[in-house]
Amino acid sequence: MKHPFQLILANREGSLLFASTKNVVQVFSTENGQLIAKWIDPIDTFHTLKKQQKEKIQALKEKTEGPVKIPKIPVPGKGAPPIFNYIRNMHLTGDESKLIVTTDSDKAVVILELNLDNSDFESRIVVLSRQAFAKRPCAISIKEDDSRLVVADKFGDVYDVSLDKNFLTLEQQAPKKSILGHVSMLTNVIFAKNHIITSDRDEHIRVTQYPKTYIIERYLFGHSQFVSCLKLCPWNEDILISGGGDDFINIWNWTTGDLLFHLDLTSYVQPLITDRHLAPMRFQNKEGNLTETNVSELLVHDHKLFVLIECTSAVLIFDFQSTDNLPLLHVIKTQSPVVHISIALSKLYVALEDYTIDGFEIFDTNTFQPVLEDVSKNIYSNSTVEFESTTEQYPLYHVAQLRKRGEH
Amino acid sequence: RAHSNPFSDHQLEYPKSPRHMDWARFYPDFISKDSGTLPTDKRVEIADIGCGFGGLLVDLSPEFPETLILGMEIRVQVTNYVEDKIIALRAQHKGTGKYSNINVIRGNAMKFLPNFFEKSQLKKMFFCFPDPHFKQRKHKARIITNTLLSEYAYVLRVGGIIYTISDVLDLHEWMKSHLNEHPLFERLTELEEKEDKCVQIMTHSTEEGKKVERNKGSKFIACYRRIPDL
Repeated sequence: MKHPFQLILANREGSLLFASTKNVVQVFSTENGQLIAKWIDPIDTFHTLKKQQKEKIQALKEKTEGPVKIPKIPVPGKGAPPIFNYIRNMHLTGDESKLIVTTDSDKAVVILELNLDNSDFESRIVVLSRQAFAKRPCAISIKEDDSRLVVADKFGDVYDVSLDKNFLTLEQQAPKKSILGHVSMLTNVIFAKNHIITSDRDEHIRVTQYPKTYIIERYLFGHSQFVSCLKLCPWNEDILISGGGDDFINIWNWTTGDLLFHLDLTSYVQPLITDRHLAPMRFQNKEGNLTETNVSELLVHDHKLFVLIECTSAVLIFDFQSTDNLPLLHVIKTQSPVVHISIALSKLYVALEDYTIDGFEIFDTNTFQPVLEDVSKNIYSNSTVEFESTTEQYPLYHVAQLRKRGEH
Repeated sequence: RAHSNPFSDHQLEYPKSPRHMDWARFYPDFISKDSGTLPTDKRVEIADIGCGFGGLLVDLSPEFPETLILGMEIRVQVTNYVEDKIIALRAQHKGTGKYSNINVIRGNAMKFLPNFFEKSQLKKMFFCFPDPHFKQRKHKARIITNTLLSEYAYVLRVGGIIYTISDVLDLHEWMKSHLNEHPLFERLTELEEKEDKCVQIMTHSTEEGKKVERNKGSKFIACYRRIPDL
């Protein structure tokens, strides 16, 4: 069975489609659907545990004489959740010469050089640098001039790394000192003018100066649930759009702190809810009908706002010509739940939860109709990532896990 | 329960933003007769982070009778103890208004300080005998870190003062070095520390401080002023 794409990203021109599935990154042409390049993360899921074992053995050897009893690598017991080797983020640099991904296997940021014109297939994606971090990276942002990269981790720290050409070819340990931090899992980090905007699982959106990251400028208060998505408006960089576990999306002027518009999603989300949105048993109400919805992606493009509610078979499109009102323009309906979306020029790319031939679709962002069906079918059929048993399938939806639960 | 994990305790209540906080019920004696709420210029200006059993709050109260003082404590039972203590003190001194300017709240100062306090709201912040978190891997849980200091600088006004005291030399050195390193704080001079009445109060008024005295331990003090952004 084909494994659904987990993350997709189109380049600015819309000529290439990057798709990450499990620990594989594939690059497709959107002209004919051909697989142009592929990269497989060679680090296995037990990498960090093996490293720890090696360190323990070393420490034991230094302490005792003679043969050392090899400490066991902890193997998840029966009933433990399986460990997956995710690629959690995928970003192109401004000049699109490099693709930067974060891997869960060794908690690293990997900088991949793209030589897609190379006649040798294997040389089209080359690892330029791989930097492991102490804690799992959750989000990254590349400065507009491609000079620096910030990495936000699951413990709340943000690190600042140079993307200088000379620096890239060195294998380095991540910097030990963080430039700023929340005491909370970070969900987004964005470079914005001379600032960094960060969001976390504790509903905070914070605006900090850059490079003087010890100066916090303001907080944008308004969310009651985790913030999962944070996007700057490309045609007005003072405008920030945020969404997460709430039933609404907020539109801010982050330079002043003003909330410009509060977009209530309740009525639009209602018809999209299925049994898969039922809250887990432990947190259910008496009737057993409590549902929870989460914003899993926001795209801001061409004066439209594209909203993806996790695990729904739809994409909501709002008119974003003004911040006074964002009326609904259209709801694109799909055959299966949408896993991820990406946009370039006038095309919306949609990765679906399908296991045979319909895992990828392309829509025109003006007519909202499906287009280039041959190309989209080719792309999905050319994907080489497959699986046999359900245990090999990676979970496709993670945003719901960000919701905080009180103790019982 | 002696400890509460500040990273993952999800049962806390905290306001959505400082404006959503109803401070009037904490300091009812300060409610304006005309508006029925606290006057807009009456805001908490002194915070005792990790106030424990409230000793410092009780001793600070008569020194700053017109200033609202708040203790933050993460442990449920300890917070309840302090609440009861304040209720009892207020009742004992009914009619005088004494102890009406102090109160306590159960909260996680490491995560939610900006939810409670506006930018530049506080004049003084106290960190008395904080948990030393001795193990290397627990150092991140210490209440003074370079990343948290930026948040404290945010809620503290320029000229505002952070007071720290500990009987653990390692922790004192840690707090000092982080505060020295942070561009928005500068250490008070020895003379300033000596002459600040809050330093005197802080040194002797807390349960922990009294225990240190009984055990003939040493107390290490370091106070820093919040300087302007540059």
